[in-house]
Amino acid sequence: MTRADQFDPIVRAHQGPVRTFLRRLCRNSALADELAQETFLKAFRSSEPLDKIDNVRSWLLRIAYRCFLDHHRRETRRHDLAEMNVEIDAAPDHRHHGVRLDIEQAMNSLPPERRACAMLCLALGHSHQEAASITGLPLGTVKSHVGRAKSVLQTHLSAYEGQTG
Amino acid sequence: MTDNDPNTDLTRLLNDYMAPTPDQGFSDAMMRTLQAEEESVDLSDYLARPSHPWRSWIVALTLGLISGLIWTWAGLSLPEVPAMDSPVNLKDTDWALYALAAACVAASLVFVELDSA
Repeated sequence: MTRADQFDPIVRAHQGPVRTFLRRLCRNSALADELAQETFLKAFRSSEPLDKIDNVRSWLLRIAYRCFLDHHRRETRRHDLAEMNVEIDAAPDHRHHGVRLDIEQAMNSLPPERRACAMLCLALGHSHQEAASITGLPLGTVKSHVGRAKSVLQTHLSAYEGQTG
Repeated sequence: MTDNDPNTDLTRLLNDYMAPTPDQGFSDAMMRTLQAEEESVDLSDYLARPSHPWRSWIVALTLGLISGLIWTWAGLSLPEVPAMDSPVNLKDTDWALYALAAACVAASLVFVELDSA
């Protein structure tokens, strides 16, 4: 069995979460798919034997997050991407009604690092320890990011409820 | 809003927000890329390739030859070759240092070979 054959079920099983993770980080579907391709290529080129990897999804998300960071750093050097880090107003925009859109706006208001921690711990169900391993951040920083993200999300959503309820 | 509120349950909303992206041909395209990658560099063959420690000795000898030529070209002379009853007596001559240097270079190259294999 070649390495490509070994990778076939991995790509099919994990492309969805990896691409969503990158889409939410980049907020650009085409770029996210490029980074997802880069992620799987890097994983494929890695000399790490697949049977030695405990949690394949965490491993792929770690590579994906590094790909995103590398891209983000390159872009930050090229342009001023302050827009990506800016916190939007506490009151959400209610021009588009819908809770789904609202959570997207709330998540987009978070800086990428905090958004990644929130996605990993609050949405994908990873532990703080796993999120720290994936993002390479200290455990305390991850806990702080998750706590603050949760608070921001709740504020956004309660403001939304106040307007609609 | 609380997490227990059924209408705006944060966990449910986040799960929805993080719903996996539909494949839409991504996996097939990715697998074609990986197959092409594998064909261009046959990783399994490369990893299974046995190391050849003797290659290191050949490289060490070649390096020694080149160094000797440069040494000679620079006008420096090599140590005299003394009359010896046995090769063991080499250790008592000025050539011992050269032999030691060659052995170190060869050993380093063997380590590099083994590490890269």
